[in-house]
Amino acid sequence: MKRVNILFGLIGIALGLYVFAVTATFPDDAIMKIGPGFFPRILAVALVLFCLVLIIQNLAGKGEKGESGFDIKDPGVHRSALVLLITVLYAVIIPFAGFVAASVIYLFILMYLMKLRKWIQMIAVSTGVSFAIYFIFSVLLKIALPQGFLS
Amino acid sequence: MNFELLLQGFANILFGKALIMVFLGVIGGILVGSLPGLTATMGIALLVPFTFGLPINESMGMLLGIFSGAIFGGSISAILIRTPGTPAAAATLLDGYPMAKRGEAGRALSMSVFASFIGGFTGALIMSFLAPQISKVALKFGAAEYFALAFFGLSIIISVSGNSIIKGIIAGLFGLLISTIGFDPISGFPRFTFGQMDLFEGPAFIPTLIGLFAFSEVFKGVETIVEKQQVVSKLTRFLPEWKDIKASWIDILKSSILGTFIGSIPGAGSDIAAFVGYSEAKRRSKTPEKFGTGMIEGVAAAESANNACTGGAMIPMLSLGVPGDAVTAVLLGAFVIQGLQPGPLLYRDHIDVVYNVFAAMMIANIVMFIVGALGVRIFAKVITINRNILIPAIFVLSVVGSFSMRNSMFDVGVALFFGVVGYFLNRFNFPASPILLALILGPMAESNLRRALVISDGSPLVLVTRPISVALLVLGVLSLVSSIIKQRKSQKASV
Amino acid sequence: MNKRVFLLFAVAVLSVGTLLANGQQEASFPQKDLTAICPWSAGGGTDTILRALAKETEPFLGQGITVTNKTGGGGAVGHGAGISADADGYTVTMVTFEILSLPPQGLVPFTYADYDFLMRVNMDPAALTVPADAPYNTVEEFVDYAKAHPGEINVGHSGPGSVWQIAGGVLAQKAGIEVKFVPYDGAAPAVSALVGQHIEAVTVSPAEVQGQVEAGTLKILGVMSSERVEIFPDVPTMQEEGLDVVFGTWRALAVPKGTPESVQNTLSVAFKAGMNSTNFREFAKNTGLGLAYMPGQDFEAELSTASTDVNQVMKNLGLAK
Repeated sequence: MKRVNILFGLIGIALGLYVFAVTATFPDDAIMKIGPGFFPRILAVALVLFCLVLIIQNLAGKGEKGESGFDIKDPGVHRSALVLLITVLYAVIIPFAGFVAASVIYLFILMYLMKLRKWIQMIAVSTGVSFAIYFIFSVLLKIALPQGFLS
Repeated sequence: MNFELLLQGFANILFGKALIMVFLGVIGGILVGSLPGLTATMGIALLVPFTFGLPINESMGMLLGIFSGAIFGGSISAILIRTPGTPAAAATLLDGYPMAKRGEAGRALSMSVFASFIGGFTGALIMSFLAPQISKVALKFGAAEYFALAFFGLSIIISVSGNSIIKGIIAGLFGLLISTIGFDPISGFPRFTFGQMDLFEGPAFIPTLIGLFAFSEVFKGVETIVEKQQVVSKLTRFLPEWKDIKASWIDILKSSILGTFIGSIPGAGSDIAAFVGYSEAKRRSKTPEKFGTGMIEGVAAAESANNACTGGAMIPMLSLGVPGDAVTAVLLGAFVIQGLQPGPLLYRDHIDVVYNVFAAMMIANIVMFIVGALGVRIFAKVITINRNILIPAIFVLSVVGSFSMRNSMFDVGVALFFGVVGYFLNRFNFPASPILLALILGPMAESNLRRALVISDGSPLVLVTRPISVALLVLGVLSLVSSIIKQRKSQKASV
Repeated sequence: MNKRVFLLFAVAVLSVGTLLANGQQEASFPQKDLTAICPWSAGGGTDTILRALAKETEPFLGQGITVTNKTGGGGAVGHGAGISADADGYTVTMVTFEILSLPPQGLVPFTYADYDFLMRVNMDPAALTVPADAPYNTVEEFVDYAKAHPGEINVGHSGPGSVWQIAGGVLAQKAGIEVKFVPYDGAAPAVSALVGQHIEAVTVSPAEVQGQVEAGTLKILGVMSSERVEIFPDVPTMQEEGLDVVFGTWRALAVPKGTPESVQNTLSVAFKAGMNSTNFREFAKNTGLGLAYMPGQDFEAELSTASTDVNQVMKNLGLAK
């Protein structure tokens, strides 16, 4: 946890410095003196300060104890990363394939990754859920979901 | 208060088609509210065109039914799948979801129904009896007061920070920085938008919410594969158990009144009210450190506050013609379409309509209680679905939910981005609630501070020379100090 | 059947099919439901109007119209989406005044000229509104007061770069007065602040203050239109009061540039019929909406002068780049 906290502190400081640098390019409000950069700048300074405190706390060994429980080699973490990737693909495909078609495939793949192997159940659930959501949103509530080539 | 007219109002709603409309509205509202990405505002906005031509009793009955139903409905998904169905339910998930994980989904849900009802009904009562008086106070809120209110709300960050104050503050600052993305509210200058049109108004709130809470949780969910969902909630009753009511009735009453008042201030909505109610309950509790791990009082306080807000938000709308929040802004439109102008004129010329609204609001809450209590068993079943099926379904629902708010694939990207951020923050013990609170209150704090300064010609004295503003700022400082002290004590006790 | 004959046959069938399909499409647009893009969020003024109009127009088109809110970027997202939609008439956009005020800020890559306009739907002037107990009862008294107290009058509006800020700016410029502009997040919060007397005036549409004016908490000093408005026949125009200020917001229906003429005609006829329906007229009357039908081509001509005007005003106000 100690190393992770220090890393997060450093990321926070970097973010704070970045914000501060960007706000320097904001125009000053001619009338008010307090322009668009005022609030972000205060936040950036505060963020840097508190991240420094976090780092110092952890260097001094006063941070939380124990492990973070995050292991980059854990197959579960790999599965999460894979699901993230597939979800991004899913979002990209929806406008072309349409919501229902994309969702049926997506749900099926996700259930497969979750180690489900009951094929009939998987097909039934993926089609059922996709059509149910489509029905509630598009038909009942008239919120247009992408239809893709089915339109 | 004219009781004869109120009775007449009840009769009008109960013995007409209006009652059916209330039922339909409540059921529709619960559905819309429980689906992530569909809010009460949206549900009502979609239906308003269809109420044109309906008698005012029926249209108001249905719309108020949706309003009450949706605010309660948001808690269902908050409790079951850690996704606030509406922003109002954001505080509910803090303790509701841990309860569901423990196998107590039914207990949390029945408390949510009960607390929502008491809150909603109290709000409706206060609205009926005191609307003109309260709205006078609400009008006193200018930019300085709004800033002070936001500051007070932000002081709650410490109390929702979990076990590390420093990490809570960092998360809160991160959230506040995110809330500055987009057009500057005063000068219109686009900040941190990277030239992206979609970011001109900042990352949309609902997708961010879905990302931080729902996506982050299901990403965690796919990591460990459990064969069967083991948490099965025993549900043998409609109402919460007596011991739960006994434990939280003070919080429910307090939240109900607080929620109504916060709701009556134009621009302060049920999301803020829920957090204020939650933090009040935590402050009063003998075991504040247990909040966030599944305390029934947390669910009770948040849900009674946000439903009380519905009655509160109606107050300035009815008596001044000034909407109390986004939902009542749409409701105001629904009146106007019918040729009725809410405000003092409505009280003068159409007092019968006003009383019908009072009656409809109370009846809507009763109907919500009945439908909700009957539905709890069905809702709670969701969690007994095999996780290998439930998690993929939540993924799809989260994608649809973040898309449908603005019909934007960009927002799906926003939700995924915050899903990853939320996942890592969660992994490394950074609490997500301060980010949420910051996202709700950040824009309110900044724009009103700067607005106040524009009006005062740049003099910060305006913040401390107005009584309401001073009072709220002092309350904020007190709440900050006391929660830091409490947090320290409980940390020392646990080490 | 040998291969060549089969191929010929197939080509023949396909081309006849295509011809038929094309012919049918020409003959009977629309074949499926339409989408109407609203660049503002559900429940707002533009959304309410579009939904009401869509509902009344459906019978005349024989197809459904689904209103889709594509919001964000101060209207930029929705207006952009309306332009990039297929130019087949199945996507209609409710274009609002912001199409003129976004380009001068250098924020969007499009202008009003990327649309073919079907019609203007409404036109609502700005109304200078003050608390009922304010020490001035006419525009002239207001101007005199402002001249005597430069920079003391706070004028609320609906956001930086919004139509109502520009309206206030034009007024101040023409009257030669110095006032402070206080941006709010929409017109409703600005009106609330005025009712609570946190600011001294607003420049928003008459409909947005109607309730308060009728209730006697606010009063309108003048409207920025060439003729008096229907809902307040007693309120003088700015021109009557000696200030040549005509300014307001409008909403129009448009399709992407390049949409077939026949399709545009079908849409224009249907939406005009929707606008003329009794239900929509009653809706407009109840909500104080200033219906102002104008055929698309006439409106486009008006826009070309309006856009240069807006550009100039925004430059003067320091809002344009």
